[in-house]
Amino acid sequence: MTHTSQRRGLDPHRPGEEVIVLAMIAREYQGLDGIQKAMNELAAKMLEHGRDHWPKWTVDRLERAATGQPPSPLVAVFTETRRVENLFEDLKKKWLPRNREKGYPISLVITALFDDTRGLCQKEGFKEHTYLHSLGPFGKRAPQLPSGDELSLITMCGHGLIAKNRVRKLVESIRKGEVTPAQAAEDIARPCECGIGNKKRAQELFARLAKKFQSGP
Amino acid sequence: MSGPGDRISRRRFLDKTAKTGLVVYSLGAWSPISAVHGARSSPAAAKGPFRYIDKSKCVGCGSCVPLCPMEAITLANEKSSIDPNECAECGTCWRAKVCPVDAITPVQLEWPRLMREMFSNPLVVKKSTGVIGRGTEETKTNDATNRYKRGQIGVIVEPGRPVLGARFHDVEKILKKFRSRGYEVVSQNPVADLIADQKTGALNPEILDEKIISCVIELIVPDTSAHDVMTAVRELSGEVESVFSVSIALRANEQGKSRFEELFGRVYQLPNGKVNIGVAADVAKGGA
Repeated sequence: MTHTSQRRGLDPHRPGEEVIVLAMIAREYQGLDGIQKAMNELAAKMLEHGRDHWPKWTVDRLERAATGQPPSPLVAVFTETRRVENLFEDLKKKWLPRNREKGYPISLVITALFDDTRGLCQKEGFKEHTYLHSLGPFGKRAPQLPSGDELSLITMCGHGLIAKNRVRKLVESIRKGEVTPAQAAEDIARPCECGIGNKKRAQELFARLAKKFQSGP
Repeated sequence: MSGPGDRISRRRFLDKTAKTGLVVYSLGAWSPISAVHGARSSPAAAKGPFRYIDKSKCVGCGSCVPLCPMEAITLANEKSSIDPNECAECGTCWRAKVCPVDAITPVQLEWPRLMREMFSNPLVVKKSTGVIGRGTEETKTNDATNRYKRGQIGVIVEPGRPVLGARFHDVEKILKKFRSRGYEVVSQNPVADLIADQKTGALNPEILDEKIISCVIELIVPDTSAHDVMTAVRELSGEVESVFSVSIALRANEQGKSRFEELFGRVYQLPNGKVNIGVAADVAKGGA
């Protein structure tokens, strides 16, 4: 779940554009008394630091996680590094020390530009433990993959459920003035069960694609 | 646990599946997959019942056509239809609720077509991983589990990803390639359950034509094997009919830096990726 590792279109020249924070309890520890409540608290803290810049469905999903049985993993997409710094500052006050004291091994994972993650770890006093590097696609049909901005939109769903033709139809609809880039971004991100759609980045990608194909693909 | 040369039988797989309590998350509630019924007989190309569009209901609006990640839905003579050979049974068309007349009809899938849904619908839970989706815990909990230890590399190969999907023929090519080089697939992984011959990595022949959006093959190898792994990947690139993605998991060094370039040299990698920041390492019993 939450296949965030093959996301395309992040550029070291645009740092901080997307920082995904994921929390997960290893299978063997999921039954620990009190650990699910700690995940509820984390969802509430994510909301505290991101509520005002997230679309409604992200807020709704995290509100459910804060009050009901939280999913493992619990995921939130931030589009400002400052907010992640604030979240980590907050977690360091009571949440992390309490987890240590109670023996709640809740893992935290960042998916972002490696430079962004490095900066966050240095600033917040964390040390990288395990890396996952993506080498990209191979295979006979790799040259047939959509390129550039289309692939960036499609790979926002790590489960591969955003269809190429859906992206193209939405671009066409933007060109015709039937929908806005914001509506198109919402359309592809809303069904994302994992909650890893980035509406802000998708909106920019749709606007760019619509402009690019203004005079026909 | 299967020994070398063991072949998984259809019965054994179905027993395993039954034990998983295979469920699908839909419409905000957990419900047994058997709750969705209604099948029709299939043409020779596709085995068993499959998801279809009820032509007596379809009004030809075409709303479902662009939704299909596998481009299996087409509109002709003002009626939409699903090509059962190309459909991966991911359920996207049905879950999107775009059909104004409810013509998209899910069915109770049977072996071996059931494999399509298991590896394409991310809401299916697999017992072997205990998580929704196709993946494993991989790096995500490595600070608590020590799955990838120092001196080891996790190799994660995903046939079908991105965009194009793959058939189990391609999955088997990848399994056989790594097995022939002496590497074993990690257990507690949905693909590991499908291996019929542990010695060669061969899958049950009954599933080879089935199409899936993607699956995860995971290996843990010594870090001295980095170049051998890349040789296998490059060879496979000219052999796998569809696409596959490769990710490399590895422990940070003492300074928290990645050893990727030290081990793999100038192999291309994306500028972004996952990093476990280690907060559970000194909390979990098995952490390190």
